[in-house]
Amino acid sequence: MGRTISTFREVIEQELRSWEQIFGRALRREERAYLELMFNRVRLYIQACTYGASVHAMDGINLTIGLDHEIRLRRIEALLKVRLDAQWSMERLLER
Amino acid sequence: MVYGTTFGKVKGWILDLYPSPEGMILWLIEPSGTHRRLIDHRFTPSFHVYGSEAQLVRLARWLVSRRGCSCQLVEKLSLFDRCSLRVLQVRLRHNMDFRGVVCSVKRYNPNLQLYNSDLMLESLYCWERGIFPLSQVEVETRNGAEVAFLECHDDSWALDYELPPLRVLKLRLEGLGQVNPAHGRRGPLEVEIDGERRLLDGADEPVWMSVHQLLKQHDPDLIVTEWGDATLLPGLENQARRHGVQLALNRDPGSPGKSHERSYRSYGRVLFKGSTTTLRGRLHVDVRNSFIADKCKLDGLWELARIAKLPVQYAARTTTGTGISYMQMELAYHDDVLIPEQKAEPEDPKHPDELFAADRGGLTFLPRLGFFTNVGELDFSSEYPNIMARFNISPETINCPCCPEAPRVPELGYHVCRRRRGITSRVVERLIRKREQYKQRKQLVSGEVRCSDAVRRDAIKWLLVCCFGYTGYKNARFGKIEAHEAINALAREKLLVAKEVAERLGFRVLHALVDSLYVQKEKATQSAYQQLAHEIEQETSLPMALEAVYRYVIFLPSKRYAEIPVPNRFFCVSMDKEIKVRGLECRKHDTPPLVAEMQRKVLEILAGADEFEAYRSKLKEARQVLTRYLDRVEEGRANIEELIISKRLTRFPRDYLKDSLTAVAAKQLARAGAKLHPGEMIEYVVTNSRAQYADDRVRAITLWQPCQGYDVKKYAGLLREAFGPFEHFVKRSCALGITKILLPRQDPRGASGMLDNELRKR
Repeated sequence: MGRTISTFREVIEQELRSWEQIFGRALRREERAYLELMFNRVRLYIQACTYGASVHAMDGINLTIGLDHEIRLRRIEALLKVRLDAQWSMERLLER
Repeated sequence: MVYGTTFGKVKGWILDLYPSPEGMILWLIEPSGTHRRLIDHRFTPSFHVYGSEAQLVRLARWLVSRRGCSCQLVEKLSLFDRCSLRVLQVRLRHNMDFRGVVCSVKRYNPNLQLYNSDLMLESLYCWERGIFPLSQVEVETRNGAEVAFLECHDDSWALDYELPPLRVLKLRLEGLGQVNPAHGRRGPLEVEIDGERRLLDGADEPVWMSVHQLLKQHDPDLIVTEWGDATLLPGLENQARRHGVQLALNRDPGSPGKSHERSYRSYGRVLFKGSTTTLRGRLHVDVRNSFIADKCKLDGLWELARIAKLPVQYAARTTTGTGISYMQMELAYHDDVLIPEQKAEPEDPKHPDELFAADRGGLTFLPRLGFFTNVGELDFSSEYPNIMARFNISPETINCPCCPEAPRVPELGYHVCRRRRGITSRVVERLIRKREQYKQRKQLVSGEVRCSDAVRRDAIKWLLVCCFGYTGYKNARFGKIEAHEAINALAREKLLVAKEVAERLGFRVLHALVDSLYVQKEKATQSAYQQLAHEIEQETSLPMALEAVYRYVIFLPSKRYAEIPVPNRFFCVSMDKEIKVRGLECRKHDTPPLVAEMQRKVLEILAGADEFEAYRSKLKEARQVLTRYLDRVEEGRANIEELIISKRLTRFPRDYLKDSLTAVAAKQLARAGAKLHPGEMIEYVVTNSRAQYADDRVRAITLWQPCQGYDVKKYAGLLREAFGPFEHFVKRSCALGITKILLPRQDPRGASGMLDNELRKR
């Protein structure tokens, strides 16, 4: 009895440690710091990862990192008052 | 000469009861305050044995001839097998034989299954006779001291009950109450009886002799001590024994009952339970060794003893989980259900996917970081117990074979019995009802009744808190992990429904923590929040209450990562200026009192603000408080008691490998002769945290000398650190050049509050 499965908070730590060991080794020092920061952002959506209960934790982590990027990108767009999609399609049109 | 039998009647309260070779001993307090010792010879406890009929017949013959027991085959219900079993009921001639006969049956045939065989005889007696500790009874006596007939005139579920008039003796060592005298704290013994307080310093006569005389002279019914279990009473007893005197602690002859200390693990923490000293014929409560007396005072202890039907001294020293277990067992006993000796129900085998889905706790939405105004906190009232009661979740009702078509638990697919009420559900239902009744009459009562109602309500809360945990506890007799998982799954579902309702009604969910929601809506009034609570209640079928509407809430980030929120680090001020704090230093047990006091004073000032600008100006005032405290520390004016740091040991002093401050203090105490155990608390003062020799860095408080002083830099640093959370967002807004702060807007994508909004505005 008792808890058998690690909490998602623990899983994030475990995944970060395991990716840092091999994947992180081949990163530059200045890049490695961002790896930890990126994993930390997953904590913001931990309830969704817990509720999702995926056997493969990295599925939840990857989706969350993507979602977080999307949210932050949209916020930067709003802050800069730009719409990158519209800008890019305009640029493509002009290129033609 | 022939003596006739005389009969009489006596009314009173049951103070204490325990088995003895003569029978069950009852100590009664009569309305006049006098006490009386009664013996019930008729109590003959029984237990049950299950095996093949041939085995049972052979055992019965052996027990009748060798142990003088009476045996008969009876039908009883098995809770988990969901059928009735033919078992051998073994009734003993004397109650003191109980443990011995149980052991001999185990030795006779280890394959036999025993039921009702490891229960406390005091509780069995209470269940059989329909009484409980501190209940009012009427006893028909034979020859003045024997119980001929016993009738209970009390109800353990009553809200208003009269308590016996008790004569109370209080004993404590003068000085720092939180420091264990076993760590070398010395001082005169402070004694209080009949409202009169005096100090026994051993100048005129030895302290033990004064206590002995006080006991003889006043004959108290209750002794309330600080550190009496492991230190004071055994120490006094030893001193008296050295002079050939048996200290008059017991009313019955003999030495007080003892139990050994032990260290154990709970929820990843190492805890320590000190040895105990229990008395016969009078009660001893050590408030430093009693969770319930510490949290809920004596009124809470009386409530627990009455509803769990546990002897008062046992109830004071046991966990609330044991109280729940005994309440479940009482229901089982009256339902003719067999009570297994040890936990009988193993975990059902599961596919890994099922385990992933099932082995999860409640949901937590991490808070949005920042300063938020007009925030409502909505709580599900006793959510987990209510889930157990309303959805009939109990170990024997989960996945029962009788209702395969019953509705399923979300996410897991378990089903719950629709035909019978579960034992756990019935227990929590009663507790919830009583707690609710106390709550409802809160506005109708005042003064002492209101205060005692509050602590009784708290005592019930502690019972309810562990109800849920006990379903998943490995040693719980009525535990089953699937019930635990089902409760969690339902709690997750209900929280998500609550979040959806709030969002549908235009509220923004700032934070959600298992059973509570922090929501915000611009210009929402108290009644709008009430309406939201009502809507959630309708959709979840669980009671939800508006806990408070806050003028402002500050959700703080993790100490390690400034952009990552944590669930339990925030403070808020309600509309009537009440402060709620989570995760700050003033809530932690290891914070020096001086630092905690500074934080509380600052919070009192900040409670005057109602929006961010006002908060910033109040913060200027609050900085003066910090300066005053810093001056006190730097000028050496701080009292040493205010600088004590309390830490829990995680191992024996000799097992510490590094010279952490706690390890150094623990080793100092061990060298001075204190016997320390993992889980024990120790107290020390930092004298010079940068000293080259580890031993100079700290001093255990009981070994501290004024010449050793304290580490000014360290304590000034702690004060500054404790002030940090109040400045966090003000500093950030200054760094970003933000001067005007707006109310956060509804934006489900925003990761933080006012700063994001301000950035967006710019």
